[in-house]
Amino acid sequence: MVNGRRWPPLLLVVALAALPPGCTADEKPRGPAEAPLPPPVPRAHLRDLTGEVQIKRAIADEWSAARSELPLYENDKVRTEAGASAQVVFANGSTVHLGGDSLVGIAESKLRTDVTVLRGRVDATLEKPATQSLSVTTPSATVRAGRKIEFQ
Amino acid sequence: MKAALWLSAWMGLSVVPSAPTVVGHEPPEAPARRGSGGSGATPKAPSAEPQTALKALEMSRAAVKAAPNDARRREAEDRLKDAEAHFQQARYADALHKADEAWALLNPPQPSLFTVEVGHDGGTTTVTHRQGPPVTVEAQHATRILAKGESVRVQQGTVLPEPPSAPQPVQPTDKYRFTLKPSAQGLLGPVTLSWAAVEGATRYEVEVVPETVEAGPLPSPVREVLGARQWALPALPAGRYRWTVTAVSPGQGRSVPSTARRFELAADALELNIKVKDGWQK
Repeated sequence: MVNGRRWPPLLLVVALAALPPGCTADEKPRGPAEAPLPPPVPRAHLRDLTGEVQIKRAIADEWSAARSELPLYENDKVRTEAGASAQVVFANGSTVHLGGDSLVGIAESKLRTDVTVLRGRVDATLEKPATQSLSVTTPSATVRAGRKIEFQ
Repeated sequence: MKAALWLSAWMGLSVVPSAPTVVGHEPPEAPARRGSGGSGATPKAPSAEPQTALKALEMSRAAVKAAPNDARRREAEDRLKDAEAHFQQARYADALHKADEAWALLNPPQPSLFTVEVGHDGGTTTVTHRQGPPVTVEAQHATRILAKGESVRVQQGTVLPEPPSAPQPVQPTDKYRFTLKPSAQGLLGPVTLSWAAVEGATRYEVEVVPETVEAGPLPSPVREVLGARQWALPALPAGRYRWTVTAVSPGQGRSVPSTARRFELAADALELNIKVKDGWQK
C-alpha cells in the first residue's frame, strides 16, 4: 500500500524530467522519427555516355537528358536510344554497360538486387568478383554474380 | 499527465538492445561454436541456412567439374569432400566455409563478365556468361549455374530449361589398350573417340586428361569442341589417359560430363626391319 501511494508521483517526476526543455505537457515530445533524414546515398553513377541517354528520377514524371557522373538513386530509371550507350557504375565498383535501345531501373537496396533490366542488352563487369557482387533482375529471371552472392 | 504517460511508453518502446538477445544461459558465442564444433547436439547454425550452404556447394561442384585436372583441382576436391561431409552432418556453417575455400582455390582473381539481354516484349531473357567465376540464374524458384561460355534463355513464367543429359561414350571401350607404331617424334595415334548423340545438343566438349605417361613430363589435358559425335585425337605419348565428353545446347546449357573412360596407348614393342630381295620389309 505504501508503494502504491509512492509510485504514481515518482513516475510523473521521471517522465517530466525526461521532457525536452520548453516542452509543455500538452506537446508531444520530438521522437527519433522527427530527426532530419540523412541525405540519400547514390547507389551508382552514370559514365561514358554516348548518343541520347535519358534519366527519370524516382520522384519525377518526366524524362530528362542524362550526363556523365550523374548520381543514380533507388528507383531511378535510365534509357538509351538506338545507337546510344552508357555505363552505370555501382558503389562497389561493379559496372553495367547499357547498349542501345535499353531501359534499366536502379533497384531498391532492400530488394537484394542492384539493377532491373526492362528492355535491351547490358554487359556486366565485376573487376574483382572476389569482393564485389552484382545482381541483375529482369521480368523473368535474376542473375547473381560475384563472390559474395546473396543466396535467397 | 497524459503526455508524461505517453513519454513513458515511448521510452519503453524505443529501447534498442545493443547486443543480440541471449535466451536463457547460452553464452553469446555459442552459435559460432555450434557452427564449427562437432558435437552435433544443435545441428543448425543460425548464420548459415542449409539452402545457402547447398548453393555454395553447387557453385563449388560446378567449379571443380570445369577445372583442369591439376594439383589445384585435387586440392579443391579435398575441400569439397570436407564440405559435403559437413553438410551431410548438418554443419552448414562449416560446409559453407569449406565450399568457399574450394571455390576460391579454383577462381583466382579474374574479372567476371556476363551479358543479360531482354527482348522487346520483356518476356524473354537471355543470359550469357563470358568470363570469370560462374554466375547463377534464378527463375521460378529454380536455379542454374552458368560457367564460361554457357548461355540460357528464360521465358517469363516458365521454369529454367533442364540441362541436356550427359553423353554416353561409345568408343573405345573402357580401359582399351591401343598398340600403335610411334611416329618419328615418338607419338602414338590416331585414336578416335566417339559418343552417342544427345537431344538438343549442338556441340560437344571433349577433354582427354593424361594420367601417366611412359617418358617425359605429364602433358597438358587436350580439349576440343566439336559439332560431330567423334574426335580423332592428335598423336600422344605412350601412357594412360582418361576422357569425358560434355553436351552443350544453345537453349539448355551444358550437361554434366559423361562418365569417365580410360584408354592406354602403347608403342609396338619392337620393330624389325628385314632386308628382302627388293628392299626393306617392316
